[in-house]
Amino acid sequence: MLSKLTTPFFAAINASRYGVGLYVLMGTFCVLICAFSALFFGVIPISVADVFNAQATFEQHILIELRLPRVLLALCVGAILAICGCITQGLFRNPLADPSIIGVSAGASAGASIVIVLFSEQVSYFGGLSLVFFGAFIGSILAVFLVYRLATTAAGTSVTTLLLAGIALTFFAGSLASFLQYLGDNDMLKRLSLWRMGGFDHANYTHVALAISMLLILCAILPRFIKALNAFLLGESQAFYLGINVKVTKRVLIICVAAGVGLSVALAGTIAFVGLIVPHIVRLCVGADHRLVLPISACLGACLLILTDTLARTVLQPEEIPVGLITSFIGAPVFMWLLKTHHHKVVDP
Amino acid sequence: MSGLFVKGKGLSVKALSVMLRDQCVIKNANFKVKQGEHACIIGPNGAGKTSLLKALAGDFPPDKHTISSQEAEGIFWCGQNMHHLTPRQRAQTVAVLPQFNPLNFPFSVREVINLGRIPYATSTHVNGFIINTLLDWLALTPLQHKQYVQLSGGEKQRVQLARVLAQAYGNSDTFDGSNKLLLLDEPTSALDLQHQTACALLFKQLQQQGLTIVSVVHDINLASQMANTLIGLKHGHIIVKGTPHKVITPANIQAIFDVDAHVMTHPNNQTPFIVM
Repeated sequence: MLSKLTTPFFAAINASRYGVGLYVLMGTFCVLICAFSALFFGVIPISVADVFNAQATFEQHILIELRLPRVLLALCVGAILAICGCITQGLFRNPLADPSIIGVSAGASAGASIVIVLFSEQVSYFGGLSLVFFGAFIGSILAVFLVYRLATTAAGTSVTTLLLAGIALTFFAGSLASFLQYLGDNDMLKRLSLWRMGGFDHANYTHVALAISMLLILCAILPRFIKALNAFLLGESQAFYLGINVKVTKRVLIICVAAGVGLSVALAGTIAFVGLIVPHIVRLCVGADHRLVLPISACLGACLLILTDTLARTVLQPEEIPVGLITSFIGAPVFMWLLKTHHHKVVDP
Repeated sequence: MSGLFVKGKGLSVKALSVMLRDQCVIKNANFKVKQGEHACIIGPNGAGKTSLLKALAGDFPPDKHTISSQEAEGIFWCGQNMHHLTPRQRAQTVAVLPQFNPLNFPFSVREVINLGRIPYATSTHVNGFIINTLLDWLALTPLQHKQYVQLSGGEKQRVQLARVLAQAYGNSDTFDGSNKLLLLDEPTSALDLQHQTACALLFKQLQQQGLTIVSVVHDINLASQMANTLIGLKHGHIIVKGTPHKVITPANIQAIFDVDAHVMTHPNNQTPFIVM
């Protein structure tokens, strides 16, 4: 659908023998710079010198206990969402697909609503994780499991049915969440809508550990499926003719997306547009080869969420804006611009 | 892997029936294609041509509803039952060009052709050489860095053909078609006369390297030029098979397509062709 931007900069790297390595190196470098600079923005002014200043224990405490886990969580969630976006778009052979298309976000939202409304009196924590986290995570996994079962017959999993079942489930989970909202009181409503807008303000090291583990698991699994994802872009039967085990590939990739997005939504609420827009921009720059698209999207997603989270906590300080609000607020216009400027090159078959 | 196959035995289809959604689309098909030969499947719309090709490609797993898994029945390539091959072995043996190849992602022409190398673990260097050869064969060299989505229908078809040939190319940088089966569903439907002729010639040359081809072709006259064997299909039955001379007769054309046609002989190579 979208064709590739051909700027001399990207063309030069694409032509280089070390293309992938160069991109990944540059991407990691950008992520590190973003993460490092983000540590020094915030309500309390902290300078780099404070890190080495023995007197500045208060500032160091803020850095290590508040800002570092927050930045790390934003990094991981951004990378996970972008990776899951790539996979969904490849799996559905649609550059405009989004992970929420298979019902992950809706399921998480319903799960969170159930926990907030029904268990409001006893807000409990298990090992640094709130009950809402478990509700959202279980909700999202259940949703994907249900959608996947609906779309799977003896003949295999139909991607079209998956999409339609995802839409149906989104409506069902949405009505469930609305009904619970209707039952809830003012305090519950506020917590619900705040959760839904997403944010990293409760970040702690348990969250970070979970997110990092998920990111590492994805990084361990996905390289084996890069060829399969590329073949999938041609079509499912074409991938089969190229020797790809279509059934296993689909199952593993859907589990990856469900776990990845489920965890992200449970940790940080629904953060829209990262999974949709990041792989899209990356494809415009480097083409459709997943060997490049996956790692670069991960880096760009990480940078993007670190930056938006920094904006979220500095723009209206000392107040905080939910980060999901900012990603939509910036993401939607950027996406409209992309549609306007690059869709004239659309050549539909 | 070559130990699996008996060289030179070609393709042999025995008592093949295909059931799709309670409907029998292929009924008891039996035919052989010798190695290095080209068989064209002809027939009216809905006769089951694509289903037959898909069955050869392995699209329908053998179970009690589709293809019988008994030893006397099935699809055999060089003496080996194709359903006993692993996905990778099958992909290194059979290359398939489907009728429709929707691709909405920004791949360059070279990248699309390179997708055909997925079943092989050959080096980037060898793959690059093979892509250059194929670009040359299909006159795509000027388009090699263009975006696939920006090409015309005929250009796209040639690129997809090149991708499938990259899959049939084999492990080394010289083309070896023995042990390779190429299945093509209307490979020249979008091509102009010049490229159609060039493709027919290319297929002939690849056959001389041992490549075996089964294709679905709508143009009877083109099929007559290209094929060693014609297979006439109607309502899932093979009603006639044999050399173009044997198959292309007014009576057979009437039986397959329900049209009256005159059969004439090509002045240069004596192949039959039809006019309405």
